[in-house]
Amino acid sequence: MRNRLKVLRAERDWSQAELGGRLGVSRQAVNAIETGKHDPSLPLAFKIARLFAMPIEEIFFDGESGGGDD
Amino acid sequence: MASREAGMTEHAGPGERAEVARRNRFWLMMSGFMLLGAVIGGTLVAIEKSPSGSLPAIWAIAITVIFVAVLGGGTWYFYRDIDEVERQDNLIAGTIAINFYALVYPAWFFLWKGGLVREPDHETLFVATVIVMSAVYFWKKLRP
Repeated sequence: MRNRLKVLRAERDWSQAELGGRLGVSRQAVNAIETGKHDPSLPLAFKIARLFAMPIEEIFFDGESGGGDD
Repeated sequence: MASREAGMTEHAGPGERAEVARRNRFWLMMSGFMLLGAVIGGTLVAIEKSPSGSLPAIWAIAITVIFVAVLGGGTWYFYRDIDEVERQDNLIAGTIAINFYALVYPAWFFLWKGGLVREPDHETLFVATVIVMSAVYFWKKLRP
């Protein structure tokens, strides 16, 4: 699953560690999500969406809905 | 840039401070598990060097209590504290390892019963299972 996490993080000038800490996950977890190695659970996806104040579908793309500017 | 991308900034925000605290907890747990490994290793050496090849009963009870308390309690705390990526890597490694054991032990057992190989060695099976689990875990961690 593709996502815009890296772009959204960069817009706020946050490091992976900063984002991880705000989400309650490790820096490695943020990296795994950004690089598509790990698809976040639904609770974590909602947490990410709340943090960036965006709907989930504007952050994550399943390949059928298109999108993704990363 | 790469270090800025991944690591800490000069002025750590609330997220970075939380990440430092999480990482410290993780390494504290790892240190506890490594210390336990050293205690178990030392005990095995002591057994090896002992003329009787055994332990006094009180030592055996003490080492068992320490092992169960530290590994049992530590594993419970570890799984409570880690994030979902770490949990998934551990669960995949554990699942593959238990499947390895469930496959190898019966195969070895039936070959032994058929008189083709020596009796299954539980220490060998235990060590091989731990090696498989570690290999899968580090593959999940280090793959590009």
